[in-house]
Amino acid sequence: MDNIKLDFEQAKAKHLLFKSRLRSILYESEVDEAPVLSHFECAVGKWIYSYALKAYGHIPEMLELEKVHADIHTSARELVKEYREGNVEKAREGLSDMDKIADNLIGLLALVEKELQKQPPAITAINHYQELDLNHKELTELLIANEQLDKIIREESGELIKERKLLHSFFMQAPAALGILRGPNHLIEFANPQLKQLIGATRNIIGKPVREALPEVESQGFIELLNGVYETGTPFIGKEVPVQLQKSPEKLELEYINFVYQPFTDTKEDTEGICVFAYPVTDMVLARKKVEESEEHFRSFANSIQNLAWIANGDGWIYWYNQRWYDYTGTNLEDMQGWGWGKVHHPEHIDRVVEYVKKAWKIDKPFEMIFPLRRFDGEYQSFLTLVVPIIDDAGKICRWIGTNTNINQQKEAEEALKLSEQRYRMLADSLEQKVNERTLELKKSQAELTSKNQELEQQNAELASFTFIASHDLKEPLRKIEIYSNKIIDAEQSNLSGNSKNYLSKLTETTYRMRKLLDDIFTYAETGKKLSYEATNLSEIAALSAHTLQEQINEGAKVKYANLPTINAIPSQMEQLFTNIIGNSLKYSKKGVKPYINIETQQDGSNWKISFADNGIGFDDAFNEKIFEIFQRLHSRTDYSGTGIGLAICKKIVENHHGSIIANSVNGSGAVFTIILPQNLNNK
Amino acid sequence: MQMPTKILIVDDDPEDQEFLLLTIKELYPFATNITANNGKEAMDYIEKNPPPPFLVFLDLNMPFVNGFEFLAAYKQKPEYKESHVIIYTTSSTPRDKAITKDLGATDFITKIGDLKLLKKNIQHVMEKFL
Repeated sequence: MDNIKLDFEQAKAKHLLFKSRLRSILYESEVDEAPVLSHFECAVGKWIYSYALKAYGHIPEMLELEKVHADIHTSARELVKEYREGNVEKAREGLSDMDKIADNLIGLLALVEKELQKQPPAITAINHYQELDLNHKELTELLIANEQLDKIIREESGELIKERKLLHSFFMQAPAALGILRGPNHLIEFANPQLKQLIGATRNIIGKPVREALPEVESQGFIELLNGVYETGTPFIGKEVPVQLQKSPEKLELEYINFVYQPFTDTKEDTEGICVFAYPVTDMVLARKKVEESEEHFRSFANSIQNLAWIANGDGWIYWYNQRWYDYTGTNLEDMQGWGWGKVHHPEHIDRVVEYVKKAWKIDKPFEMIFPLRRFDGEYQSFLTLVVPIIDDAGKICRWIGTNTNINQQKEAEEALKLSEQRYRMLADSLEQKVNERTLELKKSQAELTSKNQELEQQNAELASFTFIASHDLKEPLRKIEIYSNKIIDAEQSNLSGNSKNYLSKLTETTYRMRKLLDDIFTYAETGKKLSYEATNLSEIAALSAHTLQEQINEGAKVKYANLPTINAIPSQMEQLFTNIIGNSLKYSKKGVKPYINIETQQDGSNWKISFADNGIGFDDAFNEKIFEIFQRLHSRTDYSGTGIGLAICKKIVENHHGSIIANSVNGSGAVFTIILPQNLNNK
Repeated sequence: MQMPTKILIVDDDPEDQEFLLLTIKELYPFATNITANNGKEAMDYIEKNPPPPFLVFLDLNMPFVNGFEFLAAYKQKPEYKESHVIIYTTSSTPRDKAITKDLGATDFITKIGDLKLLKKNIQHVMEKFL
């Protein structure tokens, strides 16, 4: 045989052995590792370094061969290293890469051989490099190794298949939706029943790309998501993501899904596909949305009412306030959330509030409090706070809803009321005191008055009595004087001189005057006496007066009166009154004119107005008050007789009756005397 | 027309007694006139000298027993019922008039200074029952 050819054939065979050994290592078979790992220890290597390079070094491919051979061993070392480090699959897969280099080696060997055949070397007697001989032992080794390898591979496959089967059953039975997508188009390689159920059981999706199998998700952005995961190798986790799924030709259903897109890689860490893990949380989300909706409704409502309002967790941690709260306090959620409300409480009240509230949170009953809250401008106003617990189905307090109603006006009103009550009470007390003091004073005054009154009455009585006695006792001698004077006149008429007669006449006149005066004084004094009022018919009184003045009236005078009223009065005094006034009118009549007196009455409120109008000489109206003064006269004694007491008596009588008297006149044209008397005097 | 037979004048003033006596004498010259100074004296006399006087002129203001007292006592006795009592006093008050009337006096004459007028008044009063 051609030695060169043999060498090269052997070299190829050795190379095969090398490969078998390497494989064995990677499949945990016991082999001699040295020739695998070292390019010096291996037979081919030895051949190259100790013979081939020298003999065939002039061929460039030979040099290349040396290099490639070295590379093969480098690779082998790397693979074994990988394998020993635990990257079994990677190592085993590396074997196929090695095939490329191995092919290169074989190719180079062929080239070199070919070159050599063309130009056999100068060196004579090329000896077959015996080292390259594949001996019997090595052959057997090769065969055994092969078999072992087969066995191991078979076993491992078996394991793999078992594993695969387990995985498969888990996949199929998992309660979540699982799927495997492969490739950039996300081909649905695998989908478990749950996933099929989720997207619509009737759809056939296996083997189709996602875009084709679930066309409706494209517009919802899921393809983009998948693309992103595939390209970046970054997993995507979606929580409660809404997706519309065409579960049936008529039904496009909304589901909320929690899902994970988990990329998986091949050995080279390129994304091979995406693992999909999903489960629907639609019910939970809808339920929660309902709660959120109702809470949203509550919040809108809470924001529309006048009261401040807030929501807290079951433990009292407040997580939401309505706008009124913020408007009033001038705060924001950051300040206020949790237990922040303490910041707007009054320092004098905060302790009480905190203590009460701490206990209240634990009891599932509504509660209320009244306390001041600080307004944005620092002023404190009173609020009535009502807090209500929300109990969940399990009986646990899951929320507290609170409202604060501004009762400041009421509080102020209350305060004002209290204050005014206080003031009123104080006032009432002081008033009472004052009243008591005054009553005491009054009593004292009254007592004084009564005693003074008594004194006065006594004095009056004494005076009256004195006056009575005086006038009476004075009148008596006067009467005697009159009688004796008259006797003298009668008895000695003829014996008296003209002068004496005159003197006597004067004497009589004077005594008469004195008596008249005394009478009037007595009457005046008498009028002061308090007699009782009784129903007095003034027409009757007028008649009586007329009778008393009969003589003067008979001389041609006329007294006219009609239907005079009946009033409460002292009859005797009324008679005196009428007599005096009518008497005056008769006395002060015009010479030659028959006196005419007209008495008229008129009601004036609760009084009677009685007017006496005459056609006499009248008087100067300037004296209309003077004439009522005692002893005041407008005429001399010689012109008209009179004591000057008559009208004073009238005035006193009228005053006795709580009335009044006025006189009016035009000098020479008569006079009018007007008396006003109350209608219903009571005896007190 | 009757004529008074016994006339009793009760007055504490002697002058007034005299004036009345004179006047009565002029009016009824045939009457017996007795005077008493006060109510007690008057009552004593009447009791001691029945029958009672036809006419009694009675003053009111007298010591011991005044006119009111005498009149009250006098008119209580039925045997003196027929006796006319004319009050003869300085007073002219309606009150006195009323009281004495109630007590049983027949009439009331006020003492005045004019004797002539007095006479007229007495005549006038007397004519009422004589």
